[in-house]
Order: sequence, then C-alpha cells, then structure tokens
Amino acid sequence: MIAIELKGISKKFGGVTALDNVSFKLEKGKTLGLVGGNGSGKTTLLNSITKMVAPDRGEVYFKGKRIDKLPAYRIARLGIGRIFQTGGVFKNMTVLENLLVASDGKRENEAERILKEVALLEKKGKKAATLSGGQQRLLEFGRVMVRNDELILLDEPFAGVSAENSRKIESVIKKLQEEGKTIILIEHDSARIKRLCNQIIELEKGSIIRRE
Amino acid sequence: MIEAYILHLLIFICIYAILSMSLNLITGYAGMLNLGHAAFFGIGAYASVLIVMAGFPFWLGFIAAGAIAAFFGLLLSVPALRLRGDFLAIATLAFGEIIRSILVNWTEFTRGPLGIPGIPKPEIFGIAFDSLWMYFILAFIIAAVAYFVLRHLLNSNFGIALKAIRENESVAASLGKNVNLLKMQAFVVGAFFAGLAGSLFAHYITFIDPGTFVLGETILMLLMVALGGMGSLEGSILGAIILILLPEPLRFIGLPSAVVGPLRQIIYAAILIVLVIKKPRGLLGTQWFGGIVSDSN
Repeated sequence: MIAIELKGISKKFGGVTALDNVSFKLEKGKTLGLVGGNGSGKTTLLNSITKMVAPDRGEVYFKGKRIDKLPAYRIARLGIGRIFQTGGVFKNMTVLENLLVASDGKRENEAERILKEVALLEKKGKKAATLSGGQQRLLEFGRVMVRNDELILLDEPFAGVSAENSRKIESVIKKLQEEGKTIILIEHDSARIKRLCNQIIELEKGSIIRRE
Repeated sequence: MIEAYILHLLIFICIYAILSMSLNLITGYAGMLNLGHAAFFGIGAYASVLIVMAGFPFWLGFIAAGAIAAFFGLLLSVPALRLRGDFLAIATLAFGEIIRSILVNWTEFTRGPLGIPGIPKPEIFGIAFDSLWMYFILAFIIAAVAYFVLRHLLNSNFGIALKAIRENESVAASLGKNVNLLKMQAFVVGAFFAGLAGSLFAHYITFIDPGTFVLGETILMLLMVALGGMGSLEGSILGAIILILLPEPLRFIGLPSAVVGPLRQIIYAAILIVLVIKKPRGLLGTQWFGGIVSDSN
C-alpha cells in the first residue's frame, strides 16, 4: 500500500525555484531518506506535504486520497506529523503541556507514559525552553507518538544534538519503524541514512537527481 | 460612609476583574493584542441598558449584553485571522474607535454624547439589588462565576491550544489545531464576559456615555493584565485589585480634582514603565508582555 505519493510538485519563491516537478511514491512502513545541499528544497518538500506552504502545481496523495487542497490542520488530523528543523516546541509552555496540545483529550497518564519513553518524565513541569536542543527534539518525537501519526516527517532531527541524545533519537526512530510507521527523514550523515532508510532521494535545486 | 466607600471599591474590583480576565484570555493566552476591549465593555453596557429601559427584565438585558458583545467579538475576529502582532493591534484599535463613533453619532439610539441617565438598578426575580451590599454580592457572584468558567475553559484542551497558537501558529496547525477557529472562539468568549461586565457597570453607575468606553479604559485593562501576568487569571484579579486601589489615596491628600485625573494617568504610565523594566512577566505571569507584539513566529 502506498502511504504517500507526490505528483509533479513545483514551488517557486519569487523567481527562485524551490521544487521543480518532484514526484515519488513511498510504501507504508518504509523510510525515505531525503538528502541534498542547503537550499535544495528538502524542507520545502516537507512543507508542501503538510501545507505549511501551498505548492504552485502538483498533487499530494495520502493513502490514496488527495490532500493538497486541505488546510494544514486537516492534513495533520489525517495522521501526518512532523518534527521541525527549528522552533518546533512551544518554549513558554511546560513539557507536559507541549504533549497535551498534541494528545487532544487523551489523559495525562497516557502523556506521562510517552514522556517516560522519550526520557523526559522528570522534566514534565519544566518549561520547554529549559530543555537542551536534543531534549526538545525528543519532546517533538513524544508529540508524534502521542498523536500516533502514521506518516512522520523528520527535518534534520539530529542537527546540533549531543551524541547521547542522538542515540536516543535513533532508537526512537527504530521503534517507530518497528511499529510500522512511514517516515521521511532529512539527514546529512550518509552512514545514518544507510542505517535507517529503505529508499533515498537526492535533491538539487528543487529537482530529484538521484533515487536509490 | 467608609463602608459605602469600601463597597464601592469592591464592586469596581469585581467589574474590572471580569474585564481583565476576559482580556487576558484574548491577549495573554491566545496572544492577540486587543486594543478594542473597552468597545466590548461599552457594547455590553449599552445593550443591557437599552433592553432593560425598553421594559425587559434585567436578566435578559444582562445575558443579551454578553451575547451581543460576543457577536461583535466574532466580527472582530475576522481581521484577527489575517493579521498578527502589531497589525492586529491597529485593527482592534480601529474597531474600538468605530464603536465609540457609533455610540456618539447614532443619537436616536444612544443619545450620543449626552449619555443615558437614570438607568434602573437590577431586579432579578423580585430581588432588588439597589443597596451597595446587594450590588456587591451580585457583582461578586458574577465575577466568581466568570473566574470559575474561565479557569475551567483555560485549563482544558482549549486553553492549552490557545497558548500553542500564541507560541507558534504553524506548529499548532501541524498538530491538528484549527487556528482560525480557536482565534474566533477566543474573541467570542472574551467579548462575552466583557459585555457582562458592561451590563454590571452600567446598572451600578446608572449613567453611561460614550466617553467611558475609550482607549484609555482598554489601556487600564491591559495594564491589569500585564501587571498581574499574561496567561494567569489570578494575576488578572490581582492586577485589577492593585490598579483600582492604587490611585485611591490621591483622594485624601486634598489635591484639586483637575490634578487628580491626570495624576492617575501618570501613575498608570509610571507603573507600566517600571513593570516592563523590572518585572516583564508580571507578578504571576508566564510570559513576557512584549513577546506578543514582536511577532516571534
């Protein structure tokens, strides 16, 4: 079963081409590595899926249903979650609140169970701003877990993260893979890409130049 | 005499606590700087007075005050969906000015700048709230109900979602939050309670005119919110208590009344300056007041 499919996605910012006719399919339960230099269009690609930017042309299908006309929050409710390159946590809210925003009505003990999994239970009453970069990333993983998203978009989750937290993040990703989640991962470290991904796409100036 | 004076202050504290709590919901929780809150206060006051003076019972006027103000809150939320930070603040400022102009110029309805005198004291199911004690009890009950309702709302998913859109709208949307709907709800609920406060105010003072519901009032409410702390309902109550009581000693030092009025404004301004330097999060607050103006998204 195809989890996510992009057909001919193009996006320009002013005169600059961010994405040029990008198409790919990803099967459910697989992990796609998205590589390429700065400004090659990786983040714009994720933004086009979650509608943080609206593509100029092209179509996005999630589990066979077209979603590119939906507003961002409706797309999120279909079970598409993401982890941002920067600024993904609500810094003036507590760690627990950050999770409760995502869980929407689920009880606190469910949120606490997840906090334990991402090793943040002791921090639950602390403001998210007091967490390290890696812990903030783990908190975002916690949100994806509490929402039980089927498709998870990861925008450089290891960037600027300590070795110890990188190991934790990698084990969380592996756990999500075991649960059958579909993942798109933006990452520069080729060894890590090889370890985690079934499929690789390389972008350059908004076009796909390599598929593995 | 002293008892009457104290009761009068307590009634004002109750009314302003409702105003500052309701403004805190919009500005402190949802992060939308609202410079038109006094307009909701005024709409509630006029709605209640006109309905009651047309012969309807007080409770109907009171509920209608909230409902009509809430309707205007819905209207004001439309620009709020497109504007952020200081641009939204300017839009709300314009909204307050429009309402004031309507109250001044629609004279058949509002008597314009002459105001409406002789507003009756409330009577609910045969109980007359015509003494200071009775009015204080009424105001206190309504303020307490407002506090518990707002606290319940803001501790629920709704309140957490409002804080999330204050922090970052895009991230909130990526978690499935309908940002537009939440902003509308914040304005509607905030305006509703400001409208109730307007009714309570009008039937207590028994005279209203458009000059009461102007920007200066909004600034006072904002100062209560900022002093008590953005995102803290208890802080808003504390802010209302402090700012109602603080200028009172001026009455007793024998200054001419032409001086007392401006002096109040100077005191408020001075507090604001000290506050942003010394305690930018307010007394009980969770976030910096300036954070909502300089858009951090």
